[in-house]
Amino acid sequence: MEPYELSFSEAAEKIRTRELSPVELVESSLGRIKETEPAINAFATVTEESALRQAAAAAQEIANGHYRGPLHGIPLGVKDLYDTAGVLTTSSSRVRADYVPDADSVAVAKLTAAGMIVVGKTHTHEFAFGATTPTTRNPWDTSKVPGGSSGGSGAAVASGSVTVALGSDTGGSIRIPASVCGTVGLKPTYGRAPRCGVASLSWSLDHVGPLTRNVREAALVMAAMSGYDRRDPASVDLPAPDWSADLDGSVAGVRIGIPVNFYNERVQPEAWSAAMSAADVVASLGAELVKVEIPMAETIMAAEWTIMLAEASSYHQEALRDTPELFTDEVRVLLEAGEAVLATSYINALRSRTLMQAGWKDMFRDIDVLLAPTVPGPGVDAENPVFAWAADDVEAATSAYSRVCAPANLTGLPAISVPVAFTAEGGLPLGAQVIGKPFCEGDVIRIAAAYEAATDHVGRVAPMSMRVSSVS
Amino acid sequence: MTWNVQQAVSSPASPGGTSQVAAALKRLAEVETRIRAFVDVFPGEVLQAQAQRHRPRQASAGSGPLCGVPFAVKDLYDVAGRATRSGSAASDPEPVAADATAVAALRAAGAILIGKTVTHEYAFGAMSPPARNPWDLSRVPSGSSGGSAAAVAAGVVPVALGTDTGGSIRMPAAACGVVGFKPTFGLIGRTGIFPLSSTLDHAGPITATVALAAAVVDALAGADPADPGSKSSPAPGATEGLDRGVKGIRLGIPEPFFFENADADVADAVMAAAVTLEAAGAQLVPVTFPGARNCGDAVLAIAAAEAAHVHRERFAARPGDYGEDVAEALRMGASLSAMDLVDAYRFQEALLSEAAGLFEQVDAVLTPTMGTAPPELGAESMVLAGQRVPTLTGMNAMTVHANLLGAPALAVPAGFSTRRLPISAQIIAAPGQDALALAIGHAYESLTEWHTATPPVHALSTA
Amino acid sequence: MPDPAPALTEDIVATVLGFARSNVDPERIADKIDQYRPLLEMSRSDVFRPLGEIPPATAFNARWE
Repeated sequence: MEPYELSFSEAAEKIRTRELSPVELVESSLGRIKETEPAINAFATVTEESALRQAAAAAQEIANGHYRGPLHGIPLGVKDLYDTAGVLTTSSSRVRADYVPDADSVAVAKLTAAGMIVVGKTHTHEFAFGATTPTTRNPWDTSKVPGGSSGGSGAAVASGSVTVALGSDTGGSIRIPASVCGTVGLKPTYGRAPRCGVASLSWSLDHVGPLTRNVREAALVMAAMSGYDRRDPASVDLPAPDWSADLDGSVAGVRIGIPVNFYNERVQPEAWSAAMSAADVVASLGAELVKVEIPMAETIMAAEWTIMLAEASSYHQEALRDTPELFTDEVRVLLEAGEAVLATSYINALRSRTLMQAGWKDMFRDIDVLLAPTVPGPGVDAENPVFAWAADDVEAATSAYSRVCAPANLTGLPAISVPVAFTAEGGLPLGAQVIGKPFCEGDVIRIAAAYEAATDHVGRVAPMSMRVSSVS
Repeated sequence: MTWNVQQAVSSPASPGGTSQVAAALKRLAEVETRIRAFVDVFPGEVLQAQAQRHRPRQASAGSGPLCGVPFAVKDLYDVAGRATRSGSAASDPEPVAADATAVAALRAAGAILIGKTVTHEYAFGAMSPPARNPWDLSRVPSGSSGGSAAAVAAGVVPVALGTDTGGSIRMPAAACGVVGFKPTFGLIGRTGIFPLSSTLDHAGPITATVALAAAVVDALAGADPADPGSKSSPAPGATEGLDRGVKGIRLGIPEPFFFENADADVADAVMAAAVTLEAAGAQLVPVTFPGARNCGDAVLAIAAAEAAHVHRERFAARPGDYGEDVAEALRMGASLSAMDLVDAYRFQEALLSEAAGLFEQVDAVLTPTMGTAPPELGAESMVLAGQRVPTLTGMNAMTVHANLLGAPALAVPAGFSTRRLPISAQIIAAPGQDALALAIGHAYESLTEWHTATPPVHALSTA
Repeated sequence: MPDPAPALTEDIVATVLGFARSNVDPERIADKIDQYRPLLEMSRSDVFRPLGEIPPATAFNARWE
């Protein structure tokens, strides 16, 4: 078994006991990247040299008895939206083709301080404004999209190159690629983790968090990324979280909401039944399933898109006026449309969001978490990224993927996506998301961990990587 | 003048409530034709009934500082059984069913509501026609709570309620030489007050003394479930902490913007106030107020967009019922792009972060409240710091910052200009530090006589 | 109930882009109007109409207070 194939827990334990050197693990990770990149192109930049240097330093530190904890020596992929000091940070856009930040984003600084080793920058849909990541392909079937916008991170984890890669989630951009690539994806509560140094898509909807192979490292990395930071106006002053007890917690008596609307509309039957089977698994462990109605379902898309368009156009205003031709036409059109949104429409969207938040609070009176499909279907064809619901109802993949994820962004509630099935035709992964109460990440982690332990859906590496390794 | 006000002026003997109420009505009859501060005065029997109704509570509450005190409210506040006209022909003429939360709370503290005061139309402006400034009847009382400030300055009532979106409590308090206090955002509930801009709107008192302002804040602070901006903060204990003094208080003196944009006599008077406080034990610290120059644009964008949203159906249905200045502002708000509003909200967010740093350096900041004298009645522009600007911009240049921050800000009388018009100092504290801002103002007031000066309208009226 | 918002013509899109001081030119508007329209129709959607007067969620706080 190659070191990259070790689960996070196994690798971390071997590093702690000095059975495995961070250098071996990082070399194995870099080797995996080299093998798989030609087929999936998950990385915008591979930081081989600095990764090896840091791995050697980590090995030395651990040898000297300075083990920092379970993240020490673990390879990390970083979405190219996150600033990395001295490393090109393009947001997968020609607008930032030459941008090399002076400082690390707060998340990267915190994780490297915990001992993680950045092995490269992963592709994003340009400035995170889309859910297909056209630069990159899905390791489970390279004719399919990896989802997005954190598509490079999803592909990098699914291919086995890393067990952890960072994402950002404005309308599902962590959970969508996690679901479509068969990884775990955790979006925390809005305000939990500072976003300083991460290019913004939509200031009031953006969240940062990890995509991971298993649930344990999602909990550990998310906790390490969390904490108050005044420079992020959304940041909430709370003590550092610790969800390790939730990783082995019981789900007995937990009330799980099952939506009777919205999440089952314009969703492929296979995606819906996969989520329902997952609910049944958790119910068999003692949880209680409770049917709930999603409030204000008809305003979700309008609110999400109005807020996102306006805030994205505000952020990119200058670049759009100075160098519009440097954007891909897809994103340029979105930004131009955003310029034409009126302030009164934006206020309407914010108000409907406030009402939606109150509606969800009411809905959660009867439940502890909500369980629903993460996406309406698996990875779609990269050449024709749409969902054809009917002859006259063809929905762009970005719209369809984000539709099912948007409620957790609008409400700011924590949500984790875990793989729950593989399609009958093609064996493509499908995810389900568990959404919790504000700042109750522990609840969704507990459900996900219990599900992971009870099934064999979580933690798989794409067959593509097995095929490649059998050849080598 | 409305019929009710005419009656009050022509038959000043109407009895009602306490002797203080009778004195207020007498005073109103003397000065109202000159200051034109009121749009509605309640008949004697209404006042009588009000006094009766609240008597039992007075007894149980002991005799608090507001017992029997006559007060007035800006005509943006709902008062049960009266119409809320908001200074506009576009408003609904029907009486409303319930008191605004703040009106009910002040009545519950034993204060007696005698009438409603002039507001600039929908609180979107600082001219407040037809009200006049008691210190110079050819000038405006400023606004938008112009009637409330004129009524307090002319000695009709010691307490009046106003609203403050960009300075609308503090500007008229400054122009009329009285105390005006805008509390921390969310401290006083706004249910039953017609909104201008819910992100920036605050309710608060205009009073004859800082102690009265503290008493009103203590009486009105509290959760207001129907106002989503309301925060259930602990009561500020403003009255209790009023005599704490300024020993050891770090008082920030902002170097750029505020003093340099004020008239020389205004800047000198407010500097003298700083020196007075320093002599009493405060420490003066030069500071830079973050984003000082750009706060006005951000407030205008937010207020115009939010007001356009509130008024969209009413304005579409009857644009001709609005004054030209307000109509123009609403059109501007309706054609504002979302990007510009997002920019303004983001500016506000960034300002909050930076101000947190400012309030680690100092406990409060001292500035002039208004940089120059209020304009003549009917003026369309005025001069501030050598530049001709719209009247609203000229008057709110130094008050808008506290609205974006949601910070408590107190206007206190601090002298007279060479034209014998009031000068006002503004004390801004960190959000939540309402009691501190009031204590500093009270300390200053105790050391000076400015608040005891009476405007010439007194002499005119008794002649 | 107010009238539904007028259909989004190229002229209307040009006008609102003008409000934003945008430099998207008329040729591009004509070329992309079919892509702008569904996005902008969402922002002008009727689903927002019966909201009543509640304050905007600026400084969004996920906490239930």
